[in-house]
Amino acid sequence: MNNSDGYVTDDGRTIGGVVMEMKNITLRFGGVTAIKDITFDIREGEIRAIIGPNGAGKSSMLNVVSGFYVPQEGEVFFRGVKRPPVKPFEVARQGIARTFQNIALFEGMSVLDNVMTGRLTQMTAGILSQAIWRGKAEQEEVENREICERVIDFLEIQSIRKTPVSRLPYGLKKRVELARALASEPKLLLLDEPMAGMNVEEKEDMSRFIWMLMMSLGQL
Amino acid sequence: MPDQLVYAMEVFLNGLMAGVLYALVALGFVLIYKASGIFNYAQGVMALFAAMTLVGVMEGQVPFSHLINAVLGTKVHHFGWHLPALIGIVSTVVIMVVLAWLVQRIIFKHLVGQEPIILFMATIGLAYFMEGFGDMMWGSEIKKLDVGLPQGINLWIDETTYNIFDYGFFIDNLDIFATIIAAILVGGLVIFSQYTKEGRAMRAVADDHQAALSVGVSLNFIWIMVWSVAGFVALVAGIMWGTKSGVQFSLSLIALKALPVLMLGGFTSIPGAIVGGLIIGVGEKLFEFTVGPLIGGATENWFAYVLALLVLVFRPQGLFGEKIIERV
Repeated sequence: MNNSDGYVTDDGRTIGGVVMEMKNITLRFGGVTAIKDITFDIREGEIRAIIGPNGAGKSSMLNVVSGFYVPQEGEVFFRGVKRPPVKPFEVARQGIARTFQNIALFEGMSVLDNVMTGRLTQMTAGILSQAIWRGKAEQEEVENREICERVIDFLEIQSIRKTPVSRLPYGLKKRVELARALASEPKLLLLDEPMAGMNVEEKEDMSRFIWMLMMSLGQL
Repeated sequence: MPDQLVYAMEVFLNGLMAGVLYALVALGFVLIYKASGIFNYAQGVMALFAAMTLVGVMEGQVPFSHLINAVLGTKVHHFGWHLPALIGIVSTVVIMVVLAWLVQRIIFKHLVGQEPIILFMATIGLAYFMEGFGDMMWGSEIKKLDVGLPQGINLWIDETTYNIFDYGFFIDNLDIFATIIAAILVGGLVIFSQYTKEGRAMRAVADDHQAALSVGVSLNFIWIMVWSVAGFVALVAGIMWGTKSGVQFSLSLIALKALPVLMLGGFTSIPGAIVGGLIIGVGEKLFEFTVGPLIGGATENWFAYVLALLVLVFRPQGLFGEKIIERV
């Protein structure tokens, strides 16, 4: 397969080359085979959905992509390079962000702080510079803050910016989790059951956000 | 001004100074608890170990000399050097970082995701191991620690108060120095945890491991960092207490004094550790001064615990702890 070839959809969007490629993935837990010989790819600018009944292995697949599980067989290619077995935090640093089925937020922190943690991978200023708040650190913090505020505006959660996450209702928590993932400006965004447990309006909102993200290629 | 009131003021000031030293030990607990949810029983022993190592390095003691002599039949004791305090402190910091790495590597790496009580038991084991290991490495005799800190009565305070009250306060220079160091340390730690990316990552790890991984934080790195910082705080506490009362086994028991401080201030709050330390320090000194004579003294042994229990009844999360709201 040629990585650079894309195609144009019926509504005129350009789909780019392959970003992520999973080849013959097999994942076992002891005697249980969760995923058996699955192959698929994800292209730039497209939404790839994995559907199936409970226990089909959807989350397991996502966990393989994000490095939380290491498959027994098969190969993972990210941006054309074969990926060795890596730790989840290394995957995140490569530009793959994710949300969790059962929300994993920093409950003790405010919404803004949670979103700011999404920028951790992008921060390079030294500890000394950060401590005295001069030069690179100051500039970096301002830039990161700007990006986070843009994400917060986009997801329409300005009004709860300073609220501790633990006080938010379920639907908003899901949204904050998406915000944190977006703040890292990921190359690939993994959403595990983004609408589970939501009411109709919340689902419509979430669909709208995902659709707008796809149309703008994540450029907010 | 009545004499009793003047004496009480002196007692109050001395209590504040003692409180600072309690707070220093409590700080080490809070740091590790915040980042990893581990209640580190070994914090007191770490302070003892750090102080022993500092003395050993400065005096040029040969580590494990008793063991080496017993096995090889040699008679080595000293390298024969005396290092300046600064070099000794820097070397000890390096040793504490290596220790942090070993603790993470050998013990806690294998206990990720275990129940808090199991992690707690592991730190008890660590405490007793380090106690024996420290004795084996540096010998168990009482050592004198002198890194050139000012000691003895502060004459300026003595004179000034004498001119005002006709009674000179006895305030130890070492206590004043410890207070300044503690203030700097706390300021540094607060800036670190609130405003640096490592601090933010540390808070993230404390809150949710999975989520921290998903935003690119290496748990291993953060834990080694936190144990190193706790080791450094232990060293500072060890220097202060060691200078005051000699480097000896009882140093490790100051950890027990930190417990009521933590109950009072909350296990998760750095400012709480400081204020808790001050309240305990002042409280027990004033209580001993006022009520002590009426009931035969020695109240300092138990007052802190009773005070902490009283606070627990009304505020289970401590004065500064994060409020626990359980939704039903």
